[in-house]
Amino acid sequence: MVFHIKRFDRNYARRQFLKKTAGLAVGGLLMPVWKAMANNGDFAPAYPDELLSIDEYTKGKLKAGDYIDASNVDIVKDLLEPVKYYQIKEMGRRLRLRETTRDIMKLSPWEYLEASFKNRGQAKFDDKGNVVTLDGQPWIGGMPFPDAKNGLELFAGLTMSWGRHDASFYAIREYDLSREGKVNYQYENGWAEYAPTGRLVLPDVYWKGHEDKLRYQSVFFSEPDSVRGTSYLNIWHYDQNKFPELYGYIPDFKRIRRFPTDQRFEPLVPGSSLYLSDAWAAGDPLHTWGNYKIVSRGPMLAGVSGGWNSASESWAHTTHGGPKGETFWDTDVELVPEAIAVDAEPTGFPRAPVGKKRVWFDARTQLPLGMVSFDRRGEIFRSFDGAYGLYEDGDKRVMDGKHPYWSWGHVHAFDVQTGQMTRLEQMASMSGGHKMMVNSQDIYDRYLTNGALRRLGN
Amino acid sequence: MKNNNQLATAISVISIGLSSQAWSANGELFGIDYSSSGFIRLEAAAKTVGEENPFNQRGNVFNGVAIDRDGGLNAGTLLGLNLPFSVGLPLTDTATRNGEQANNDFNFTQVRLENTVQLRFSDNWSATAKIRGIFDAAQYDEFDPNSVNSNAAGFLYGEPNYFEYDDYETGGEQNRLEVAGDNYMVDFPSLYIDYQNGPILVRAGNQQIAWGQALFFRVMDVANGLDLRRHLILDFASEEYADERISSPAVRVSYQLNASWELDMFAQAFQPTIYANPNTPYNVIPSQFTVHDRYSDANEKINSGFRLKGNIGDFGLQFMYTNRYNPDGVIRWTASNVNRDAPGIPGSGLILSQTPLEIDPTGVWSAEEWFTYAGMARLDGVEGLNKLITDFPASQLLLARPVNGIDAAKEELDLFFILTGGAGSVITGNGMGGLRGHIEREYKREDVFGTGFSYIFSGEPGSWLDQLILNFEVSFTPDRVFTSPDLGQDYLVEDEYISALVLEKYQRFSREFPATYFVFQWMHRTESDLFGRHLSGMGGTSNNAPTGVDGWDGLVLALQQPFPGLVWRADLSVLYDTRGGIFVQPALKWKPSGNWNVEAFYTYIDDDISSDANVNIMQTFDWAEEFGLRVAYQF
Repeated sequence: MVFHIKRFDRNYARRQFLKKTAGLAVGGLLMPVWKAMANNGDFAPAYPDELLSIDEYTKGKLKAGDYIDASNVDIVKDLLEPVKYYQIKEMGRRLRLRETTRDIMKLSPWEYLEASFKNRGQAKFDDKGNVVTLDGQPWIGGMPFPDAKNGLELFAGLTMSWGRHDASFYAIREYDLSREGKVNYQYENGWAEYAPTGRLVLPDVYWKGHEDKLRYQSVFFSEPDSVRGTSYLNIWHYDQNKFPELYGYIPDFKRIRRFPTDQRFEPLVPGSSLYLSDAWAAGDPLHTWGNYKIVSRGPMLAGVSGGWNSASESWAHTTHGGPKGETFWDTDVELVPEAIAVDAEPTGFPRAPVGKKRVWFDARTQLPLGMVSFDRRGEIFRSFDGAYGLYEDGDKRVMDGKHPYWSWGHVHAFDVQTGQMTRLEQMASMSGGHKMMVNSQDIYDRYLTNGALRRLGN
Repeated sequence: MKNNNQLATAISVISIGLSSQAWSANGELFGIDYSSSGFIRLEAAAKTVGEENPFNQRGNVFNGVAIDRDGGLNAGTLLGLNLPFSVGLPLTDTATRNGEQANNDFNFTQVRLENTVQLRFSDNWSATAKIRGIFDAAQYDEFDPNSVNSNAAGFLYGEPNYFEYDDYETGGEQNRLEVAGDNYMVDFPSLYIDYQNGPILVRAGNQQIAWGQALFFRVMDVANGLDLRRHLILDFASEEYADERISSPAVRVSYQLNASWELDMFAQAFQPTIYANPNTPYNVIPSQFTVHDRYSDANEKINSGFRLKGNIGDFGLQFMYTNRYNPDGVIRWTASNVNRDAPGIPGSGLILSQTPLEIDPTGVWSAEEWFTYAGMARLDGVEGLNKLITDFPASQLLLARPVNGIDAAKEELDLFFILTGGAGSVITGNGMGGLRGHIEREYKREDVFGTGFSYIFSGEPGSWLDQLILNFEVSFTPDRVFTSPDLGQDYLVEDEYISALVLEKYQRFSREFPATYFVFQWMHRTESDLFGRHLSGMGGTSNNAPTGVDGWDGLVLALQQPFPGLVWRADLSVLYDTRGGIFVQPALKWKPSGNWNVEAFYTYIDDDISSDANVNIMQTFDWAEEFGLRVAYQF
C-alpha cells in the first residue's frame, strides 16, 4: 500500500498567494519558479501538488477529460476570470479539462524559453523606462524579467514580444456575432509581426539600421470585398513612450497614407469587438499605460495547450454554445499553478472608454492567459481570452525550424455590455495563397514594407 | 424614359435571396491559389432642386425664353475702323430657343457590378483582375434631336450616349480595356501581374497610380487622369477618386532602399481625363460645342515619373518628378468641316465648314446666350469671337470682322445668328437659330516637379495637438499649357505652382463614441482653378468679358464619426472656394451585416454665397444638389 502524503493543504496555497500579492515577490510558492526550472527544467518543485493537478485541486470532483459547464462550474469558480465564469454559467459555454502540461518547453517557442533562461538577470529599465541590457543596449531576446517582481516588468516582456517568435505571419479568420448568436460579419485577414531587435533565430540579434525599432507589424484584409486590400502597417519605436508610426493602404485612395495612431480603442472593421489595443493584451506602447499593479495571485484554468485543431487540414476550429451553438470555440483548459493578475490604466488615453484592464499572466511563462477590461464607471466592459499550444499532435506536427511550431490557436473577444462576440482563429492559410509563416525574413518583404502593402491592395 | 424593364431586371438580380453569410470563392486550382469577390450595387441620386444642368440641351437657360437679337451691319466693324459713333444698318428680331426644358427627378440611376480575382502563382508572382460593369437605366428626360430638328454632326450630338466618347464620327472607347455602348460599359480598372523579390516590386499591366498625402486636392497625384462619366466628382466624397481615377497599361517598379526610403518609378501609357458626354446628367461642357478629341495624336505616348519617399528623423519627405501629357488637355477652335447652308444663303455652308461654326438649332441662338455661356465656361466672349474670325479667315467671307468691346461683339454676333437662322425673321420678328461651335481637344507634354514634407506633432495626451499630422506638398510645372479663354490657336503657356497644406487628426470627444477623424486642407494654385481652367477666364458675364482673378484657393474640412461598433458612420465633407462657393456633403454609411452596405449622402452646393458665381468653381455644378443612395450586396 502506498500512502500519498500531501505536503501542504489547500489553504496553505491560498495564504501564501495572498501574502505574495502584497509584496515584491517572484512566481512560485515553495521556491521561485524560475529558479526551480533553471535547476532541473521542472516547475513542479515550486508548487504544492494540488496546484499541479485539477484532480487534486478539486479533490476528485473533476479530472482531465471532463467538461466544465453550467452544472459544475461553481466547483472551479475561483479558477476562472469573471467573464469566463459568466459565459459558462449563463451562455452555454463549456471547457474541456486536460492534464497540466508539465514540460515547460511546450508552453512557448523553444528558442524564446531558452533565451529567457540564458539571458535571465541581464535586463534593466533605462532612464526612459525602456528595457535594455545591463550595458544599455536594446534587449537581446527572451523574457527580460523572468523573475518579474511587479506588473511593469510583466507587461514589459509581453509588450516587447507578442508572438514570441522573431517573425510571424498568421492567417486569421474572424467571426463577429450578435447577442442573439448570429454571425453577422466575417473577415479574413493576415497579421504579420517582425522583430528588428532581440532576435533569436533570424541572423543577428539586432537588424542593422533598425536598432531603434521594436517591431514591424501589419494587418491586411482579404475578405469580404468591402475591405479587401485594406492594410495597415505599424512601425513600433523601441522607445515605449512613443506611439508607433501608422501607414495605411485604403483601396479607394490607391496609395499609402500616414495616419494618426493614438486612437486604439475602436474596432478596425464594422461589427468587430476587437480593438488594436487588445492585441496580445498589450497592444499599446508600454508607457502609454501606467499604474501597473499586481492585484492577485492564484491558480487558474487556462488554454495554454491544445489550441491547435490537428483534425482539420485548414486548422479550423469547432464551436458550441450561445443561442445558435456558434458563440464559443471548443476549448481545452488546464490548471495553471500560478496566474498573476495585473491591473493597468490607460494613462495616455484620457478619453478611452476603458478605465482599467486586468491581465492574468502565467507565472511560469508570463503568457497572458486572459484579460478583462473595465469601463470608466468600473463596470466590466470586455474580455479577451485565447488558447495556445504546440502544433504537434501525435504524428501530426507543424515545424518551426528544429522544433514544433508554438503559437495561439484561437481567441475570444467579448463585449460584456452589448453581448457581441468576436472569435478569431489561426488558419493554415487564407485566400490569396498566404500561408502561416514563422521566423522567415520573407515576412518583412512580403508584408511589412510600402511595396508589400501596395501588392496586398487592389 | 427608357430601359424600365432593364432596370427592373437589374434590381431583381440584387434582390435575389442572398442573405446567407459565406466566404467568397477561393481555393487552389492547378497549383495556383485563387480568390474572387465582388459586389453588385444600385446607385441613384434624386434631384433636390428644380434646376436642370444648363450645359445640356434640355437644361439650357434660354429654352423657351424670348430674346431680342439686336444685330447690325456696322460700317466701323466692316471697315476695321474704330469709329467714335455707330454707322450701320440695324437688323433685329426676337428668337425663342426651341429646346424643351427637362424636369428630371433623378440625376443618376445606375447599377454596378464589380468582381476582383486574384491569382497567386508563387511567392514571387501574382496577378489581379478587377472587372467593372456599369449599366445606366437612364431614368432621365433625355434629349431627342428630332424634337428640335437637330442634325448636328458628330457621334455624340444626337441622342445621349452615356459611355462612348472616343471618335468624333464613330464613338468607341479610348480606354484600351473597355467595351462601351450607349448605356453600358465594361472595363478592367485593374489587370496586372506582380513580381516581388525581396525589396523590389514590379507591377505590370493596367493599373492606377496615385501619390501624395492630400486627399481630393491633386498636387503629387499627377500620374492618372479622371473618368468623370459616371457621377462626376459628386460620389460619396469619402472615397475620393476611387471610381474616377483612370487606369492604363504601365510598368511600375518600387524598390525599398532601406527601412526609411523607397524609390517608386513608373512608365505608363497616356490616358486622358474623360468628361461626361453631352446631354448626359453630369456634362460640364456646354452642349452648344462640338468637341473633336485629338487623342489619336497622343494615344501611343508614354508618361513616366519617379518618387523618392522616406524619413529623416521625425520628418517625412518626398520628392517627385513626372514627365507627362496633361490628361486634362487644352481646347481651341477648330474648323467644323460641316457644309450646311444657312437658310436662304446658298454656298454659305462651304464657307462655314472652314470655320468652327455649324448651323444647327442645338447651337447658340443669341449674343445673350453666347456671353452667358462664355462666362459659365470661363471663356472670353469678345476675344473668342475675334479669334474665330482671325484664326479662320474664311469667316471674313461672311463679312465677319474683329470687334472692339462687348457691344460691337453682341451686334455682330446677333447679326450672324439672325442671318444663319433665316433672315426672314427680320420681317416676321420670329427668329430661329443657332450656331454650334467646333473645338478641338489636344494634349500637351509637361514636366511636373514636386516635393512634400510631413511631421507628426506630440502634445498632452488627448489634446488637439497630440498626434496631429501635418503635410505640405508643392508642385511646380514650368511652361504649363492652358486653354486660352479666347479659344485661339495659341494656347496660354505659364509656369504654375500648386500647393496643399494638410492637417489630419483623430480626436475623441467622449468615451462612448469612437474618435472623430478630421481632415483640414488648403490648396493654392497660381494659374488655374481646381478643374485646370486658367484664371484669366474668370468673371465673364452676359454683360462683360472676363476680368480674371489672381490665384485660386480652396479649403476642405472633412470629418468622419464612426458609431460604436462601426456599423454606422457619419461623414461630413466641405469644400469651400474662397471666392464664394461651397460644397457640403453630409453622409451616412451603414453596414447592417457582412453582405450589405448602404451609403446615403446629400450634396448641397451654393455658388454665390459671397461673390459672383462666375469666379468660383461651384457654378459648374451648382444645379446638381441631390440625395444619393447606394445599396450594395457583396459576394
